[in-house]
Amino acid sequence: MKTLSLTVVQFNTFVKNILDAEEFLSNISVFGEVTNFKISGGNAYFDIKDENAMLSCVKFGAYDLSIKNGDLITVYGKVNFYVKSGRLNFIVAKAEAYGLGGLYQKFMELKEKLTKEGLFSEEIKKQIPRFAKTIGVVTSETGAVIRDIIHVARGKNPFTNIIVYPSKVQGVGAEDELVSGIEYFNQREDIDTIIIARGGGSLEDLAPFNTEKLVRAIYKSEKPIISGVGHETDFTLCDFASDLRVPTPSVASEVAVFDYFEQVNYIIELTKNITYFIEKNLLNLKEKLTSTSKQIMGDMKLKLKESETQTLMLCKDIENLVFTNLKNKTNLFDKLTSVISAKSPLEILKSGYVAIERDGKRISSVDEIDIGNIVKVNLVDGEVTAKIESKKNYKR
Amino acid sequence: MTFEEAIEKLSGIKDQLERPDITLDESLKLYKESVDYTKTCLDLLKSTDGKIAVIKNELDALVEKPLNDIDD
Repeated sequence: MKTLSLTVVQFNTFVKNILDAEEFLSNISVFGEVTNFKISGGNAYFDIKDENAMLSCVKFGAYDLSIKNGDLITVYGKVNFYVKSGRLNFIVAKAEAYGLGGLYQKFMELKEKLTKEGLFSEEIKKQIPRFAKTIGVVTSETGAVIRDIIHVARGKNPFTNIIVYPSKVQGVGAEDELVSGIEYFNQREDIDTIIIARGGGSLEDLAPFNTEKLVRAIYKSEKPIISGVGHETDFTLCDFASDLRVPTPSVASEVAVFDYFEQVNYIIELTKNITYFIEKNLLNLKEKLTSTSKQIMGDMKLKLKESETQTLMLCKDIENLVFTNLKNKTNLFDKLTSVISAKSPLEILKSGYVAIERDGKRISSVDEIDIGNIVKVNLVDGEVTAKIESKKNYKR
Repeated sequence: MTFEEAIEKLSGIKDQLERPDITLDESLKLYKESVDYTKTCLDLLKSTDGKIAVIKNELDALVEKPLNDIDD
């Protein structure tokens, strides 16, 4: 085999290309103890070491880095080989205290800080829409999680749109991609609900879901967010910040998608009920109409009867009055005729009185007659002649 | 002449007949008039009754119709 002879720059470039081509090295975490820590020009330069080796690290923009020499940390990032210096550096994207204890402590500290700010407050939780048409899912485009979400959604509603924003869900860059997903869906008018989902994992795996940046992105989101991260027992800050926390990605899909078939049945039932009530109301109205019209008819008949009675009574009164009048007149006539007839001379004679005449002249006083005079005595049924034998004057 | 006008006339006749100085002639004349007004009243009532019967038949026909036939 022929030995290649290269210039330094050729060699270094060659090495760099090999390193850059190794995908494994572009997203990796390394842990070790911090040493030689210094900050220069806003960037942090330090080494991490263990008993046998040392790795030179650089963190661009060190404002959020709170480490010091002696700390055990995990750095997330990628390897970079500088052609010019021939040195290898680890470009740190994120550094955190190594081990569960440290991570958990950071988790609790951050949680407390954000709670104080009100980012997890119940009052700011948004209602999850009951009838979402389009759902945005921020998760890894490969793996069981998205398959489960789609499977559950399709089972419940074949018409719900599921839009996936592919995102890393662990490791370097995951946090930024999750945040970008939320921002992306917030820009889309058609998105009704956002799901952030990931399967279960260790606290380190779930680290991107426990970051302040993600919490703030969720807080800022105008669309309601469902967090279906990890298993039932896993709790992340993403869960606390979201509008609804569900135990698994499948449940997130279950909650976000409404049951199409159930709704169709519900609408059919509703229509039946409405029809029933309308028909019942119509029937009631008809009965009311019938009874009212009967009542009106009854009232009319009564009024007619009353009018007839009034007419006949008036007629009877008039008849009575006319006959009373007639009777009164007849009575008056009878009374007069009886009075008249009582005054007739014949009537007087009938009672035994007599009328005396002398020489054709009616005698009404003893002074007009003398003893021995012959008089004519008129009775009711004839006359006699009499001679006066005595006389007596009552007035003397 | 309406029913109410005829009734009014009958009431008037009754009032006149109640006058103590009514003459026999007047009484007879009023009696004859009262019969005419009574006839008018009863004729009007009878004709109203007939009209009510016609309207009632129309209403009965409407109400008895099944609901489905009404909507057109």
